Amino acid sequence: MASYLYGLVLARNATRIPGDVRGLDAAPVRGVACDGLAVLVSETVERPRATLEAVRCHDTVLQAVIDAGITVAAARFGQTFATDAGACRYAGDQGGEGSPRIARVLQEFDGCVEMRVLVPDSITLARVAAATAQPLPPGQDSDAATGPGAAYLERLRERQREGTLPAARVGSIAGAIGPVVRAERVSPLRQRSGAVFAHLVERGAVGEYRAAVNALPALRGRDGRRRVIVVGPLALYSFAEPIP
Amino acid sequence: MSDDSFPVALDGEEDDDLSTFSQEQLVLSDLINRVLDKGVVISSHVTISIADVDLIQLDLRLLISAVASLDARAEK
Repeated sequence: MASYLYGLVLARNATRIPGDVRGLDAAPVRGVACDGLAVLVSETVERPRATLEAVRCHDTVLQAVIDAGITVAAARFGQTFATDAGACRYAGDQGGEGSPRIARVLQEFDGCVEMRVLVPDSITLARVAAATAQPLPPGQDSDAATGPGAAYLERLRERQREGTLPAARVGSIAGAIGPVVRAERVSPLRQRSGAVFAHLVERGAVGEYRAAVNALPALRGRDGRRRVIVVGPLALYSFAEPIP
Repeated sequence: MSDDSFPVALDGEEDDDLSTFSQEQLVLSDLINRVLDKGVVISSHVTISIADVDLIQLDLRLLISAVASLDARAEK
């Protein structure tokens, strides 16, 4: 049997993991303490294939931990180790002596969750960019005749024609939402021309966050209807950076 | 309806212009991509796994697209 990794929590939170959480193949999920961290693992026969069922199961395990009030750094799908000790060894090795990198992230973000705003189209993205007055990239000054929104949209279209979305250029809505957002990551929304704004939010401030997003005019169409989906609270997928 | 006119409601709000299927498709697409593309990687040998996952992920996306197409045809 092997150990499949779902995520990492601070060791002091491992005892709060619900005992009835089931993972892949309905195997019980355990929190195995290793130094300052604990790895969330379950037994598996082999490395799982990325089926829709397995992907959902991975996320469901993390959601159960979040629902129990524990901050968890999500592990990327597919990480399987020969033993629990093997998973611990890798988790511990990455941070260096005394202050493992992942533990530092979890310490800093303890009590936080990830919220995600799914913006499904480039029109809404252009409105966001215009409303939040995003500066244009160097060398691409705005055309006063067309306005920043139209210029931004044209850049998006150019990028789409090239087959990529300029995730780094879609701007930020964190400032418009307010200080309830501690950090923000922006990435393309696959298969669409939109983007995902991932926000780090204190668990106790999720209601305030939702209200602030609801109040953003830039996330509404011309008809006043809202054009985004808010997902969360989730495990920290975007803020526990992959280790090279 | 083109992608650029795709209307989506914030959760908890009604939006008659968006089918439940479309919302679920959007959320499912985000779920798949964050589980497969985000999160901590603690083992270098997982690079091989990720390469495998990327290939399968492509299949999943195609599957979602295929389901969406079938659903659209069924509505016509």
